[in-house]
This record gives sequence, structure tokens and C-alpha cells, in this order.
Amino acid sequence: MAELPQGAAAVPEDVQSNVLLTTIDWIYNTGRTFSLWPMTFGLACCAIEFIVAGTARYDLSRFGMEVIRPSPRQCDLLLVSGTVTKKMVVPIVRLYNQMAEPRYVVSMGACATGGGPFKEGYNVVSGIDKFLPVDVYVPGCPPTPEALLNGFIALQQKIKKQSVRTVPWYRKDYTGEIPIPVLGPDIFGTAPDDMKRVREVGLNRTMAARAAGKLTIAELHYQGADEYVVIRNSGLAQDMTGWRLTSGQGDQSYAFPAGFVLMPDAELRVHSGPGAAAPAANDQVWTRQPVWHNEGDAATILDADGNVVSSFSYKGS
Amino acid sequence: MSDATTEISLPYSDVLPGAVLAIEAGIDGESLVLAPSKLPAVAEHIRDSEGYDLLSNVTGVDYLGYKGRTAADRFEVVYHLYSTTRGGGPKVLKARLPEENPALPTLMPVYPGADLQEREVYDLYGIRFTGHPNLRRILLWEGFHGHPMRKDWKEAYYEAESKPFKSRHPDGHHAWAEDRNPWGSNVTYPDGFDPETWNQPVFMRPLEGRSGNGASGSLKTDRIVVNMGPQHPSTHGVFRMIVELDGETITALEPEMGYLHRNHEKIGERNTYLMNMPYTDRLDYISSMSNNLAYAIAVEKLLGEAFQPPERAEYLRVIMAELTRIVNHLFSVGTFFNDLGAFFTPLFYAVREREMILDMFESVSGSRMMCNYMRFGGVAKDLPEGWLEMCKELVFERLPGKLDELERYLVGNEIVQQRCIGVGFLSAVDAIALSCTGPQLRGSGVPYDIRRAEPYSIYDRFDFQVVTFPGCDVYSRFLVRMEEMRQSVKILQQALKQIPEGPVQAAKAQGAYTVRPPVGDVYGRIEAPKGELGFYLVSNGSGNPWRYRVRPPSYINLNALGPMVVGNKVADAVIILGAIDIVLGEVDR
Ligand code: SF4
Repeated sequence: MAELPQGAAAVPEDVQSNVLLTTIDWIYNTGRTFSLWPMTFGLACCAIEFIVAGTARYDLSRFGMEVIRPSPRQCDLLLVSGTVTKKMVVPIVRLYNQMAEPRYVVSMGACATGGGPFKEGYNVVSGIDKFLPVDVYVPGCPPTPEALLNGFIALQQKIKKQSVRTVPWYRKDYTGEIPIPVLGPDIFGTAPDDMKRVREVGLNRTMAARAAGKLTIAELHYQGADEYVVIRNSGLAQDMTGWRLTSGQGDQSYAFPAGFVLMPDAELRVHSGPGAAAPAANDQVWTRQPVWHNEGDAATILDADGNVVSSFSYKGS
Repeated sequence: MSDATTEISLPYSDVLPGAVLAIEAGIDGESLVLAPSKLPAVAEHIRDSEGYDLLSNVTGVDYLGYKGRTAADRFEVVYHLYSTTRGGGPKVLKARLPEENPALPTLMPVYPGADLQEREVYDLYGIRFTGHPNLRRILLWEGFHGHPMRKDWKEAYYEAESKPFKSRHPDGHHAWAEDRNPWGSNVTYPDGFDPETWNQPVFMRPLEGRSGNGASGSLKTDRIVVNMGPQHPSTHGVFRMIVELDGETITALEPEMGYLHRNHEKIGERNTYLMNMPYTDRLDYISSMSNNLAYAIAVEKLLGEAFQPPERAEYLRVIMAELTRIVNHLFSVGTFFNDLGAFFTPLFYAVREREMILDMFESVSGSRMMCNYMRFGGVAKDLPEGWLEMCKELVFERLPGKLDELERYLVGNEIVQQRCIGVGFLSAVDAIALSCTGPQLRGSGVPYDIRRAEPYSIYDRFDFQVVTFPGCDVYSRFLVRMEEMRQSVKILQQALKQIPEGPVQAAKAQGAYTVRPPVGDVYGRIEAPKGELGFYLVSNGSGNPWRYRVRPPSYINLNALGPMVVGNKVADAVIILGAIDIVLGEVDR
């Protein structure tokens, strides 16, 4: 028996031959190395080779990992065995989050590693490592059961090299939760930068298209007791405080009420004449006097700085 | 075709005037171009008066930019009808639809089996089927933007413009598609889409229960909705069933798929014809050789006489296809017993024989599962030395005994019988109406096997039986598979005795990497282990298929899942699904 370190408790004579001394790391790692519990979880073609690796010819149980459980709560090895689609990555991340630490991910095959033959597909995630931390990649399409076993052995070696003192899951600040991606018009993560990116490509692009649109005078009805101008907004929401509508012939001017906002795609009517009334919420009454000359006139919208936004002229009958 | 001839010879003009707009001659024979609104009437007439009772295939095609097509007939929906009683070739119906708001009436009242296929066409092409009771997306998710199989739909990582990759290594530097096309930057988001307020639409049809509502004096009970999958040991991959239970009894079921939708057909349009061959391996990845065969047959039809394979190649094809059938049925029987609760032991026996055959595949093609062995006009290469002897030993000596052994263990087993007999009832009439094929159809007593009904390759030379069992339940389907393995052995024994020496690829096909078939469309099909596997191809004369459609048997067999499951116990749903024998690579493509 080796010399005990200074200050260690003396081992009584009669049990000395029954005591083994080792490091915590060794015992901890050995326990985990030889009782990996993979999850029953087949994605695509590669999963068949995983099933076969469990049968008699390849015999996964030689390596202490034949307990394959369908519940993620009981598993510590997630084998991503096949093509990860956008529709499927959401449940995969959820499953990963449900596994207890310490947990490992093996990416099996070309698809799980980088999209494989289907990389260009519109519904394919090119590699599970865009979402989950992967411990071991097994190449092949599909990897043979032997290759898969080799991957598992590589994982075991990796586990053996870990140390209780440095593994992340005992740190105080560790949560290990992966944000679950969201299926929108396309898939996106929920991390702040993902959201920002999606907003940039989605919302902002839409906004940019909108910003190019603007307020226009669409119609002018100058006859009858109720004459009105139709103003349409094909751009962004517009605060019309300080904006004016002017008539060319009479040089009259109407100031829009302060704080009035015309929403995108909304319409507004400015009524004038003896029969003027404001039936809809957006409608405005300018004056009870007729404004628009029947023999021809021009209407102009000016913004708060006096710039012409849109104008409209007509020749009367 | 001139107007004068169409005037005279348009069919059905007596009973349904104006229904048929034109007759088109094609490689497959004639196809009828119909007025979309008259489609159900014509289909019903054809079904009842001519016996075309099986709606095999529904294909959407986008002809945007195709020579001779305009916005007025941009979309086309093609229907292939077959007769289960007479056999023979298809009746092809086509309906052309405009670019603006394409819609046509659903065929579900005539052929209930149109259900899933119409939903798929709607999902991928945006063609509406009016009157369809459940027209929702099926492969993609609710909230997805656009219809991806349309020619003008552009995807992230779109690489076709830079293929072949001259630019991948400019000046020896590596370039990734992601870098040229940063993630998400070419995805179109709908107007005003805001990720923070986005709530994914719930896409489950409200399930309607049939009992337990307190009506007619029964006890009022609550029904619960249980979600099985996409990660569930019984779903054979990433399939999801949402079932509504009244106690243990299933009152309604809603299948949800697309978790493995990896855009096979879209990628297929971008590839050259030959590049698609290895992709077909990954459809039904248990039986890749059959997939190869079906695709090769379809393309050879398109390519014409010069690409007909020589004798030896035909024999090799049959040998491989029948070995594949055994592989598939072994695996399917094994997993079926997993579902029954006999966890893994029967699968161990099944996989042992399967491994023997996979070794044969590996030695001839280089890969256990993804064989990629067939070529247009033949096969990739001849057998290695000693292969035939090995195969003979397997087929004559080993397999018959092992199949007997398997049968002794499984077929007569009392527990198996109690569990299976009468479960998952599907009558012959329903099976045909729901477009079922393969063991599922023959397990309902319908003797329809394409190897007999419309023989392809050299199947007309062999003596074998079309296996049917009349039980219409999961037990019959299981028995059909067991017996079909014996028939396959029988075919193999004949083929191995008869196989001649000679070349394995047609002379003209050798080294023909980029084939350019003449303009036209074609449907080629075979009896794959799971049912009718077909490929519908449209060629515009270039090296890539204009449309590359796979008719996946297990996807279409799923039409019958709901009707079979409702009324059974929840544990039986698992074995009913297991007896359909689905493979998700093929279901979702
Ligand atoms: S890597 Fe190959 S075998 Fe594995 S899932 Fe992808 S396509 Fe299938």
C-alpha cells in the first residue's frame, strides 16, 4: 500500500486490504462513462443505424450504454441522428432542456453535422450545432454502426478527461437552458441578437418599403352640397400636426387638428360646402362654405415645414 | 393538335359536354385536359363506368416560364387513376389553373384518398381545393410564408445560380453559401411581421368526439387530448399523432407530419437526373434499392428505347429489389413487435437476417443502406467475384429456414393473435377508396400487386403469388409481410438460376452522366415493399427535371390511419400505425 499523505487518517490494520484510494474525478468519471443513457430518438436514416448498433451484431451494451430511454428526464445522451428540420429543431431543443445535467450531445451523420445532402433545403437546419452544444461529431451518411461506436468511445474518452472542479454544471451561475427557437415565417432564435436580426430583415424591410410610400390626394369631389377631398396614406403612420390643405383658386387653407395621425393604408376626407358632414372617424369638416371651383381648381397638401407633399388639379366642365 | 380533330374525338362529350378540353398524347399514353370545375364529375364517371377505382397520385406542377405556357395556365394538377380489378396503365387527368388565385374542386367526395395529397399540393403550391374539409398546411407549419415549390419562391442558401460551384474556391479560398446569403436575409417576411409579438397560429383542427357527451342517456365524461410524438418510441421517427380519448378509447385522431420534410422534391428539381439517384436512397431509407429501381424506370421511360437495360442488369435489378423487400419486411415485422410490447427480441432475430443481406449490398454497392446502385439503362457495376455463390447460399439454404423459424415464433403466438386480430379494421372497399397500396391493401384481401397488374422490368417471367389475406386487420397485414418474404425468396431462387452473363448497362447509357430527356412528362411506378412507389417527372429538355415528384406509398397509406384508429384503444393506435409501416423519410420527403 502506498504511503499515506501527511495528516491523513490512519486506516485500521484489518481493513487495509479492502480499501482502494482514488481521486474523486476518477470515480465520478468512471461512473458516468460506463452508464450513458441515450435517448430513444430517431430523426432520419441515421437512426436506423443507431437501432442496429443496439442489436446483437454490434452490441452497444458492451460499452455500458444499452439502456435507451424514451424519456429525456432519464437520459444523459442526446443522439441527433439525422436531418434536423426547422420544424423539428423546436422539439429537439425542448428535449435537450428537459434532460438533466450532465448531458451530452452526439451529432450523427452529415445531416446533423452540417445539413448533409439536404443542406440547401428550405426546411433544413444546416447543423444542429447552430442550436445545441455538440460534444462529438460522427461523420458518414449514414455512419456505419462501427463508426457510431467509435463516436461513443470518443465521447467516453472526453468524459474521462473532465474534472468535477471545472465542469460547467456545478458552477453557481450555470443554467444550461437553451432558448427555444420560434417558428415564424421562418425559424428564428429567441436570443436578443436573433430577434434584432429578424426585425432587421423583416420589420425594417417592410418599414423601408412603406417609408417610400407617402400621403397623396387621391380624389377630389367638387360638385354638390358636400364637396370633399380624399387623402390616402400608402406610407408610414403620419402625424399631421401643422399640416395644411390649400386650394389654388380661392387660396384658402385648412389646418389639420393638432395631434391628428393618419395610419398606414387609411383614408381621410376633408369636407366643405353647405352639406358638409363628417360621417367617419377620420373625416374632417373644413368649412360650411364651398371651396372648390367648378370650372377648375388645384388642391395641395403642405407639411409642417411648408413643403408640398402632394397636389391635385382638375379642369371643370 | 388541331382544333378539328379535338372537335370530333373528345371523350365523354355525350354525358359531360364541355368537360374534356383536349387530349394530349404523351409517353405514358393519352391524358385528358379537363375543365377544372368538371373534374369531380369526370372522375366519378370514369370510376363508375370504366373501373378506375384507385386514385394513385395527385401532383401539382408549376409551369412558370415553361415554353408555351402563360399566366392563364401556369399551374397544373395531374391525377393518375388505376384500376385494381383490371390492372394496366393509368388514366391521366389534368386540370390547368391560372396564376391568379388557382383553385379547383376537391376530389374527396369521389376518392377520399385524395385528402393528404391535396393538402400537400395546397401546402407546397398554394392551389386551393374548394370543398376540402381540412385544407391546412401539412408538411410545413402554419405561419410559414409562401408556397415553396412554386418556381418563383426563393429560399435561404439558394445555390442554384452558382452551380456547378465554380465560385466555391475562388483563388483557392473557400466560400460558403451562408456567407453570400446571410441567414435569413432572403426570407420574405409578411408585412408588419414583428418577432416579439408573434404568436404561432395553433394548427390543430378541433377534434369532434363521438361519444361520452351525455347524449342518449350515456354517462357524461370528459375527453382528453393526448399528444403522441414527434419524439415517441412508437412513431418510427418524427411523426406526431394528436388523439382525443374518451377513457381509453380513441374518438378522434389528427396526424401531424413534416418534421422530416427535407425538401426532396425542390432539391430534385435543381439536381441533374443522375444526381437524384442517391437522393432516392434517402426516401424510404430501409429499402433504398427499390427506390433506385422506381426512379430508374421512370427516367428510362422518358429516355426511350436506347436506355433499356440489358438482360443481366434486369436480373440484377430484380434480385436487388427482392432482397430489399425481404430487408424491409424483416425490419417492419421486427419493429411491429416492438410496438406490440415484445420489446426488441423479435427485432434481434429480424435484424440478424437483415444484416446478412446488407452485407451483400455493401459488397456490391459499397454502402449498407444508401446503395445508389442503379443507373439509367442498367446498374452501376457488375457483381464482385463470388457474390452470386454467397447469395445463392443465403437464398437457398439460409433464408427459407430462418423465415420458418420466425413464423414459428411469431405467427401462431396466442398473445400476438389476441392483440392483433380484428384490430385496425379496414375493409377492401375503404382501402381502395383511401388510395392504399402494398401490404395494407392486400391485407384487406385485394389482390393488387403492380408486379402483376402492370409488370415492369422482367417480373412477367417469374412464378410467384400475389399474397392476400382477408382479415382486413393488422394481423392480416403482418401475415402478408411474412408470406411476401417467402414469395420474394421464390422469385430470387428463379432469378439466381436464370441470370445470364453479359453487360450490365446499355451501351448508350455508359458514361452518360448528364442525360437530357426529350420534352414530356411520365409516371413510372413499381411495387415497392411499402406499396406503390412512383415518380412523376416533367422534362423540358434540359439536364434537370422540371418537376420531380415522388409518390410515396407510406404517406398515402396514412390516409387510412384516422378511419382505422378511431374506436380502438389507445394502445392499439401504436400497432395500427406500426402495421402501416411508415418511414418518415418517405412520408415527409
Ligand atoms: S446523414 Fe445521410 S443517412 Fe444520415 S440522416 Fe442525413 S441523409 Fe440520412
